Amino acid sequence: MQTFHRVARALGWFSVGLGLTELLAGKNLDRYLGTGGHEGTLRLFGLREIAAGAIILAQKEPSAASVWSRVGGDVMDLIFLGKALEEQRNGTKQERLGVATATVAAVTALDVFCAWKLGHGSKPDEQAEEDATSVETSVTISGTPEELYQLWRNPQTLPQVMGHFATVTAEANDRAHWIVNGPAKTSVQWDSQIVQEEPGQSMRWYSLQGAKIPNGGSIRFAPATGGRGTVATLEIDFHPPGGSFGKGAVKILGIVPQLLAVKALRRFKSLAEAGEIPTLQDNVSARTGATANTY
Amino acid sequence: MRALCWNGTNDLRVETVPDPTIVNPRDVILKVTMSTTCGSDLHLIDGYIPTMRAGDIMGHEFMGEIVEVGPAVKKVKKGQRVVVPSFICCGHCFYCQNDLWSLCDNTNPNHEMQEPLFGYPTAGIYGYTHAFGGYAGSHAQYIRVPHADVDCFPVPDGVTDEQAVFISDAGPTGFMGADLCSIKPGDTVAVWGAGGVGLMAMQGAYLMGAERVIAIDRLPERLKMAKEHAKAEILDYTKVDVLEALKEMTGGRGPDCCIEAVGMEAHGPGLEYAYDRVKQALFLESDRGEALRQAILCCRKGGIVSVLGVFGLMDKFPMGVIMNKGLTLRSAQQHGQKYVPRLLDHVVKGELDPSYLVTQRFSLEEGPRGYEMFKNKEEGCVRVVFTP
Repeated sequence: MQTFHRVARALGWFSVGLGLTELLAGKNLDRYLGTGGHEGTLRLFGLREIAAGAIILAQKEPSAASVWSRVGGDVMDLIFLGKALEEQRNGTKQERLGVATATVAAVTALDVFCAWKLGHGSKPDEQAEEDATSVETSVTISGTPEELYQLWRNPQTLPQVMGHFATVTAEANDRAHWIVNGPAKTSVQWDSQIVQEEPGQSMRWYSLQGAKIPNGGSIRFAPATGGRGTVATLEIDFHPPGGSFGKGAVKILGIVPQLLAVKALRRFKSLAEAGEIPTLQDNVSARTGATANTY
Repeated sequence: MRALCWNGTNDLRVETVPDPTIVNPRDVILKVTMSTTCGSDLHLIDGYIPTMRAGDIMGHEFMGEIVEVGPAVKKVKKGQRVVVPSFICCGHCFYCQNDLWSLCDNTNPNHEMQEPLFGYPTAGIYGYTHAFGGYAGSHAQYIRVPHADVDCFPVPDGVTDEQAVFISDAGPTGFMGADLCSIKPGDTVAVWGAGGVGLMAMQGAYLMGAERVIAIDRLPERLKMAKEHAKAEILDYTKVDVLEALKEMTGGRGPDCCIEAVGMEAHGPGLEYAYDRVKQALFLESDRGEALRQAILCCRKGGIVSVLGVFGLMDKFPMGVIMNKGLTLRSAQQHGQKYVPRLLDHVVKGELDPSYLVTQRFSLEEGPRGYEMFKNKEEGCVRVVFTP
């Protein structure tokens, strides 16, 4: 996988280099290739190349889509060169155009291969890691499993515990409505239903049909050793639909399953032990938007 | 309201900020009547501790009058004069139940900022970085105090504000430092740093049964306070070799317990200090640990070193000395709620009067000047109190 990320990055730099040449030396290039007074077109192509390169280089792990966009550019180049070749009657310039066309064709082949590999070529275990949106985390809480189970089951609990990430409304005894707001008024909503329950011990819920990002979770309560209360284990799974849309949606909404789960469980612990969840609501120190200093 | 705000390294300003509000049912709002500077604030002002944000309200050692109470507050009442320990504690978790208050599990809303550094998050503190909760501090006209029934201690009539304010931090921190030494009758206790915390540790050590207390500092006015108010024997580390002097004073044995009340910005006369200072200036190291290293060196074999100073990362840590001499190293941020009732009792009985720590008194508007004097130890400054 990494090899093709490296190839993609090399292609990105190639884009930037070619783009700069087309943009800054459009006139000379036009004359050299004999493309017949199309220096403006060459400059535009240059801008396109630079943009394509920048998009690839901006990503830590270049996506298949960004390399496919290069393929689109390659096709434009080939059409342009093909037309010029057809019209060109000067032998030397024909030869030069031929070399250029062959080069672009070779790069196109590399682009297609790289984009295809990035899209499909990853090994199964790496792919699994990329899609890993299932997390499990535990915390020890004072109280018995039964008490904590009752508290979790209380319709007022879930809205508070998940308040850092979603607006949850308890709808029926075993249903809840979830709204997750992302930046720029994006939001995702779904309904969930308890699908399995062992009173005093555990329960599992799952989103109902129609959820854009199918997800589920479970909570288990077991006595801690040495009379230290109860170990609560929260599991949260997101199953974004295949392809980049689902994963993108999870990212855009800022859902980091690990952090989400740890925080939800800590909030539940505070609610259970201290009767309330610590908050800075309306009272945060610092000015809005101020960022933290570092060492 | 008006508040003293951090705006970057060495940039404090008094600003108008929104009033605090009651959010959780156990909150109260306090009208701050007195708030004081703490040496640990200097690490924030000097930029050595990360996760401060521009506009943060400073201050974590304070007292005041309750002016508004949340619906679930049962014990304390509107109009009461109370002192509040610096750490916010729930009173119900494993740590609070075991008197390890500053480790409370339920009061740090920003636990995720601390966990990568500490492994497990601590309690929240007022006015002490976002990693420690992001709560607004006490150098302000008003402050929101969560879990008021657990964290607000009514001040008995007859105890003045100047006495009570230090029972918020310097008193409990110093007393805890002495308590961590498990002092036995006849013990000699050496204390590095004769600031507010060090002086309280010296008095605490005597009240817990120490036979001799030795203060180590370099500022004459502080050593004078140690001698006069804390009845300590004194050593000026710029004038004597501390190890030799302590050996001589203890018949060659060394002090049984050493309390470090200095922290990451220690001063020292030697090469080691210069080394630390240069590294710190280059951001290669965050702490100057001269006093702690000396305490470890001077402690008798099998003794206890109690660390009260605030540290981040320290290199050249003399682990071999600790190991080979069989020392016990103990430390904590203040478990204040454990010590406040005892301290108030000492004050009521006339056994302790921390009011001598007040060397300067300023209005809140003069906050930046107050911290400048405190930092540079101008005019014999030990503690500045603000009366908002």
